[in-house]
Amino acid sequence: MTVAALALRTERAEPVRPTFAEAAEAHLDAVFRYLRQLTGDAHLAEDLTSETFERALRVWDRYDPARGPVLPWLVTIGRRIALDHFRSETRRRGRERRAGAMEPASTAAPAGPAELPAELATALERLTQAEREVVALRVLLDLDGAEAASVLGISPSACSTQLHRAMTKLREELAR
Amino acid sequence: MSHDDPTPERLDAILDGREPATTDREREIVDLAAALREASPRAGGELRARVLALGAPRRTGRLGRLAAGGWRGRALIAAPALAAIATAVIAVGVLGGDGPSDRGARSGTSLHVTSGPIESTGGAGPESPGLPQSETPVPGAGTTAPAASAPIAITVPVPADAMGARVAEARRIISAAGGTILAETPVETPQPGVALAATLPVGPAADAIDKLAALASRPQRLETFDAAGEPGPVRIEVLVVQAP
Repeated sequence: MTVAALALRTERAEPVRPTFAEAAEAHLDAVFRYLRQLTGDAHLAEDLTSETFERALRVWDRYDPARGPVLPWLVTIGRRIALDHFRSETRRRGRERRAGAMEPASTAAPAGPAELPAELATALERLTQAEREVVALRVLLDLDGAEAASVLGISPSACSTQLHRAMTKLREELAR
Repeated sequence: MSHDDPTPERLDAILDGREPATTDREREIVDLAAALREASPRAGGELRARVLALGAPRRTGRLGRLAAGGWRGRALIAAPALAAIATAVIAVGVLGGDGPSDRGARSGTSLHVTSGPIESTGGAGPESPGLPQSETPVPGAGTTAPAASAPIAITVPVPADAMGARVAEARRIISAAGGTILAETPVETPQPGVALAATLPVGPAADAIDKLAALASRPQRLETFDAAGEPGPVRIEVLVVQAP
């Protein structure tokens, strides 16, 4: 990170600790959008969003505004909950397949957001989950590169590359 | 990727608004980002209500704002466990020092738990005039105690050399708030210190408790409880103890 970027981040830091209610009010839509994009399922995203804020409330004392804004902190919690959900779903489907009790679950990517224009939704569906996620963080939630990289657990340069690939792919899909 | 595609670093700068889009390709990406943002869904009403209800104040009592107001307020409205410790310490003193026949006489000047407002030795607080004594039975005074609700226990850990000054300051805060000190008792556990049992008028109680809490030299993580049902003077137990 350059000195200028570091200075910018310092200026953008939120030294004042919001209350949980203020954080929920300010960032509910953003967390929902992220989980909606990540899961491709509005109902599931609602459940996961609710669980995210419930968990955030339980650990609210641990949020330290000196370490960064609250939105990436909330999104990180939401991401863990979503990944836990995916893992348990994968295990459940595996058990069901082994038992032969049900039809094999679909391995297709989750449907794109129904609220989006059809062509945009279709283009998003063609992205990988990781690409959709970086678009959600960087474009929909307006997190900066370092914040998004922190949420994803990757380096800022890897985050930039992933975003570049995703946006290029989206643009090419829409141009077809 | 064509030659006029922006580099990843340039794309970052454009999306962050640090650099303007200058080529058609860059403007396309900016437009695409705007379209994504515009079409992005918002949380539904039911979800919004559910989540915002989580953050709504659950303590509606006069002391609720203390608990919501930071670590001091939250930390120093003590748990029933601490109240029980203080009460147990006094009980040990009472039972250990005197025979059963003295208990009634001692209980009026010891820490105790009652279900209603305590009529202190100096009378009820200014905001509870006319509360009849018969409605506020005191255990050990020959009446039957109803189900007890714990008084508000405030633990104030302080350095050993500041003990005397902090106890004096606690007395001053209680008096300045119009409160009445019912008992002052030395304690040995969990740390050496002094327990003050007192009542505070409802109005200044929150401020007084806040000031008492501020006497602590370090925060403690304790539970809170709702004092909304208190009809009369607020009963408190201030435990000024040596910080371990």
